Amino acid sequence: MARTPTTNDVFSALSDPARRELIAAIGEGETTVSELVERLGIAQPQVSKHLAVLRESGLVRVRPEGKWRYYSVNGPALGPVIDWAQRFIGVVNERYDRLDDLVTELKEEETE
Amino acid sequence: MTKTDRKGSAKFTVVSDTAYEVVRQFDAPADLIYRAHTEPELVKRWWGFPTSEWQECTVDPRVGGRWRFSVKEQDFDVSFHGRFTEIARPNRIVQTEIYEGMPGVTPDTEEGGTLNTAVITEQDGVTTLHVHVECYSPEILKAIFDSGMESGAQVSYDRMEELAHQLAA
Repeated sequence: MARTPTTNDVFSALSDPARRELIAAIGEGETTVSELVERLGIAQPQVSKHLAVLRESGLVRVRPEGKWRYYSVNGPALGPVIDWAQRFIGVVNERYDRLDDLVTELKEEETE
Repeated sequence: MTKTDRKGSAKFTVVSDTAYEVVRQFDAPADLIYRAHTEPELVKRWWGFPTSEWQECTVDPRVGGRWRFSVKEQDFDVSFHGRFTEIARPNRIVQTEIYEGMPGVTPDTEEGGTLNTAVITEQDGVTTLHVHVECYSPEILKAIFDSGMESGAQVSYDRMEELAHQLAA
């Protein structure tokens, strides 16, 4: 299935564990770079670099206020990732459900 | 005997940038789960999709032995192959797995797939299947999800139900 470049960016953005950690650290609220530096114990240039990638992918939004910049997670941008994972989990589940039916049948055959 | 309803209970975890794991329990002996993975006539009854038309189902469960599953769907073919690197009936099956839908991959390709470790353990009549899929690179993990998504879109839950009823009849 061809993905649009934008969607691809979301997946690439999430492929780095440090960026996934950043998203988790931002959580549901708004936060600043210095708060993230403190929370994660990662150097400020690293945090800024990862935040830039996350912003480009649309996963993170920024709201400037005075001299501060507040970062938050853009939940709907995670949609394609959730969809992608659920489809895959669905396929895996259906396969094992069939294996379940099969072993039940085989067990019955054996006891007959 | 009452049977636990385990439909849809496979637990899926991404464990690293390049690996995921699936855990599923079955009310059956470990050896039955092992056989369902290694006997072609049994593999054909659960692997793939309810609508699959089997083209090839080869399994040689020995160290270095080859396996290949190939099914035809209405609009596309899905083929995987690989070799067994460890076999300990009924508890452990380690095998390479190469998706032939990847660019440049042929049925003879030996590189670029995943290493799948299936651990099968039985306790009090319940068997746990724990599969660890090591993808070597995030790109392969992505490709796997893509292939799952593509094929998953073809699967209708109604037909799935139908098949289950047929089998139970």
